[in-house]
Amino acid sequence: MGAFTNNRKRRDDYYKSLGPPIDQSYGNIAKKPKLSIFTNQNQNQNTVEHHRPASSNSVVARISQYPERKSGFGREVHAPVRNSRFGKFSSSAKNTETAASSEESPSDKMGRFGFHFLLRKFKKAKDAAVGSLRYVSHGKQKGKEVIEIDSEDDKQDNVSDDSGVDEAEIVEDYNGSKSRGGRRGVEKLREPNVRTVEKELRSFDSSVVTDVSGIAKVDDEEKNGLMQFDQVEVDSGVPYYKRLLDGSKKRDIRLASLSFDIEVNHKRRRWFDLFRPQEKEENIKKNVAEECFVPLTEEDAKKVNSALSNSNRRKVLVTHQSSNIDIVGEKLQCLKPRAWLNDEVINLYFELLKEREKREPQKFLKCHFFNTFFYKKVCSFGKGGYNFQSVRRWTSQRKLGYSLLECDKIFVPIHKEVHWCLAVINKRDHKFQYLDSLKGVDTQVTSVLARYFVDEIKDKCGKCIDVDSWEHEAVMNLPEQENGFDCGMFMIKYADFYSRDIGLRFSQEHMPYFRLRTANEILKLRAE
Amino acid sequence: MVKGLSGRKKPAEEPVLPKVTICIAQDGDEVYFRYVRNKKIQNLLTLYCKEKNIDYRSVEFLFNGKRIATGRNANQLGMVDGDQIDVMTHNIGGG
Repeated sequence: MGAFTNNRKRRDDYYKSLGPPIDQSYGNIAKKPKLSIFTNQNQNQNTVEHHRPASSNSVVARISQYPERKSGFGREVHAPVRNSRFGKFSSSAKNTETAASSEESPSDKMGRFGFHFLLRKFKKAKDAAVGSLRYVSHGKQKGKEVIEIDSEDDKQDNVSDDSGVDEAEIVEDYNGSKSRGGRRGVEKLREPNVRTVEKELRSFDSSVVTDVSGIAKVDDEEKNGLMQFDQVEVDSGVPYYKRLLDGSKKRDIRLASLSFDIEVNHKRRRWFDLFRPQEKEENIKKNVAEECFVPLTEEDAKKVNSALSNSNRRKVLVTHQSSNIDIVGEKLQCLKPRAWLNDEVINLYFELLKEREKREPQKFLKCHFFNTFFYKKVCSFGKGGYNFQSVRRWTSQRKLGYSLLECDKIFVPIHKEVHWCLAVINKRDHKFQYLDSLKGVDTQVTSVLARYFVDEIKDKCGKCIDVDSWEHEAVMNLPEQENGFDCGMFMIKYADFYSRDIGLRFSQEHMPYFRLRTANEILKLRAE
Repeated sequence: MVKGLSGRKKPAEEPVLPKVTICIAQDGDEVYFRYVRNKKIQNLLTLYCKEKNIDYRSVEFLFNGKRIATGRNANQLGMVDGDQIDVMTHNIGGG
């Protein structure tokens, strides 16, 4: 082999030294035709006798990988042609096909086959074969591709809420063009085009202009597809029943894709439906929420201002009989701007919230409000920071008039050195929630409350409840405190809004108003 | 005889004024008192504060989680032997 290459090299050099007039292909041709003949013969033996359909398929498949031929040789082939050598092979279409396979190889650039009539014949056969083959393979690919597209769409829909409407428009266009295509009955060739259209739409941010142009493109290509289809039918001469069978198969794929589309659109509709009832609910809740922001009357504002003045520091302003809480002016001054809230105000406010709920039980959730000392008591001086016995008698039926099991929500204010936060035993939603206006997280609190709640129900109602499946949630989606003094206000307002069963629709800017409102409610001993 | 008996009875009755054992607990520290039932609890609490050297106003006295109103006695609160009064310090917080 090495010797051969050496020789060839030398020969090349030799030809080069001779100059251009002598055709180099002449030297090569001595070997290569023989080789090609040899392979042809082999193939003939194999294909004709044994695996005729399979091999023809494979050959055509291989052909289909090459770019479609536009015409024959662009230029005339300058090479010696020995017709007699190939004459015996040129008789059957099979042979021309196999010859064509070798014809596509690079060595053919040398132009060994100059017989145009053979080429033309071959070209016809090849076009027919390739056309039909490509057609089928396209269909298969399309089916897969369409599924991928739709699944992509689905994912996008689920993920991106914002672009939901735009997506829907695109989908409608897509469906519209699709149904049009369905009437024409040539959808398989069109579908990848739709895909490109969709791509365009996405890339251009779903503008109408690109949409229209895309569909126009689609139509053009559909026509092409139709023409191609007709040609194939004429040329191949496939039996009529086979054509019908093919047609019905094509429809199968289309039906599958359509049913998938239907499914996707159904899902999409359900997804959109999710928004509607929520909006209605929100509207109702909005009315309730408006009650939370009723400005104080001038009279009330005056009273509050005088109560917060320094002249009332020592004076007992109000006494809450049932909870025995006296509020002196000094204590109420914690409701002045920038002041830190103390536990007496918080406890009294929670008492008022409870009274409010008793007054209008249909308007508010059934809640229980623990005082600010409860959590400290329950988690101190016990095994593992938990002591049920110390708070066992805090919630006797005789004292409360209800059991905690009846309550939808149980509010537990948590005091952390200098910070107020709120824990909620949300029985209705089966959650233990932790609300911190500074977005702190404390899993200890919720786990202690879970233990307490189980023990409490066991002790008072004699029932064993399973709270293992209840979610322990540190609520993150809440109004945030933006300073170092409003956490108490945030805490009592979380409780207020939660007991109304509305979203926490307030923010830092409402805090000055809430301070005045709370002071007013405490002075009146009536929370609204 | 009768007089004497009754005379003996009278001094005997006075120390047997109905009393209740109360535990005052603060931060794990428990102090027990035997206290007369129909006397104001507040007196006991001020005494406790004096003993412990704490300001009466700076703490909250809770019985079963409820603030003890001034002027109430053990009978009114329904106290029995061994009941506990929790002493809780007031808290403030701002964040």
